[in-house]
Amino acid sequence: MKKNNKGFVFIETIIVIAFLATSLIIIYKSFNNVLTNEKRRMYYDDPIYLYRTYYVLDFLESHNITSFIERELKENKAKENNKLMTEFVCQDSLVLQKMEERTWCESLVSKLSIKHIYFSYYDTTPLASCTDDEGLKCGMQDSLKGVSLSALQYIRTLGGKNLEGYRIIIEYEAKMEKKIDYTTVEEKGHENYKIENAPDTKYFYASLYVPFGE
Amino acid sequence: MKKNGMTLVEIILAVALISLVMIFVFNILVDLRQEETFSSYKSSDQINRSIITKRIQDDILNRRLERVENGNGTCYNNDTFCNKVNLLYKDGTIGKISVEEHYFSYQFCNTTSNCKSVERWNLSSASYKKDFIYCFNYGANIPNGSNGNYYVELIFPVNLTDNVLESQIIFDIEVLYASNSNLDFENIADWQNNFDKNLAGATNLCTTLDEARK
Repeated sequence: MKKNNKGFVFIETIIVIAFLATSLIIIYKSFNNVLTNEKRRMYYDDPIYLYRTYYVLDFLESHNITSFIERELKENKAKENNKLMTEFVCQDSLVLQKMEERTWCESLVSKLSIKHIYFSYYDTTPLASCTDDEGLKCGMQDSLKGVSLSALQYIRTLGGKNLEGYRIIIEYEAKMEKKIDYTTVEEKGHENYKIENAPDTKYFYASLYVPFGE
Repeated sequence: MKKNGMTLVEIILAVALISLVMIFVFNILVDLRQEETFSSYKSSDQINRSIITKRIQDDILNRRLERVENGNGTCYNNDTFCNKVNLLYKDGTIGKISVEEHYFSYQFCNTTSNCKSVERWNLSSASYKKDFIYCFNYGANIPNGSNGNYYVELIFPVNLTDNVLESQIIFDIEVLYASNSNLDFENIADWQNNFDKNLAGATNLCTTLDEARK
C-alpha cells in the first residue's frame, strides 16, 4: 500500500514562518540603526551652530589662539605623548590675558550654550581609528580625556584625511521643552499642553577649519 | 490509510502565525510611509532654514551690523501676524526681515528706496510663533570709549504641527552677531543706542535665555 502524502506538513509551515520572522527582525533592527544614526546626524553641523562656531573662532583668533594650538598640539607632536586633541577653557590666561576678555569669553560660552571647545588636527583619522561607537578602543586617554561618547561619535564622522592644519570642534548643549501630555479645554474647544519642569537636552556639534599661521 | 491535506487545527495555527507576521510587516510599512511623507516636508523646511541662515548671516558678516530696529518689510498674507525687523549694515545697506505664520521673507536694499526682490520661504511642517526673541548683551567692565564686545541675537521660534518637540529647536531661525573688537564700534554709547531697544513683537529674553541655557 503506497503512502500518499499531499499538501504541506505543519512543521514545514512552522519552519518557513520562523525563517521569515527571523529575517524580518534582522531587517527591522538594521533599519532601526539607520534611523537612529540619521536622527543623530541631524544635530551635526547645523548651519546655525556653524555660524556660532565661526563667531567663537573669530573671537579666539583675535586673541592669539594660535599660541594655544602651538603649545598644546604642535609642540606635543614630536613627543611620545602624542596629544591629538585638546580642550580650550576661557580661563587660559596665555590666550586671554585680560580679565575682561576672559569674562567676555565665559559670557559668550554661556550665551551660545557651549559645553566644550576642542582643538584637534584637521585629520581626525587617528582619533577615529582608536574609537568605535561604544567608546575608546585603544589608549588615547590624554587626547580624549573627558570627551563624551556622543562627541566621539561626531568626531568619527569628520572627513578630511591626509590634510594639514587644525580644526575647532564645539559641543553645544541645547535645552528643550518637553511635551508630556495633551489636555483638552472643553469650554473653548482647543487643546493645550503641559510643559515638563525638567527640559530635555540635545547636543549639537560643529567644526571648522582653523587657518593657522596664514 | 490515506492522509491528504491538513487538519483543521493545523490550518488555523498556520493562518494565525502568518497573520502575525503580516501584521508586523504591515506596521513597518505604515510607519515607513508616514515617516517618508512627514520627513519630506521637514527636509524641505530644513533646507529653507539653511538657506535663510546663510543668506542673512552672509550679509551680516560681510557688511557688519550697525543697528537693529523696527522694520518696514512686506507681508505676504495679511490675515495673520507679521513681525518686521530691519537690520542696518555698516555700509548703509538694509536687510528687511518679515516673519508671518508660515512665511519668512528677507529683502536686501541698497538704500531706503532701492530694494531687490523679496526672497520668501514657506514653512510646511510648522508655523512661526507670534512672539520672537531679541537679545542684546555686552561685556561688563569695559572702560568708556574703548573697543568692547557685544552680542546680538534674534530668534524666530516655531511650533511644530506634530508632537515631537525634541526636534523643534532645529527649525527655529536664529540671527546672531557677536562683535569683533578690531572691526566694530569704538564707542560703547553708539552700540548701546543702536541695539539696546525694544522691538515690536519681541520679548527681550536675555535673562531668561541665560537661565534656560544653564
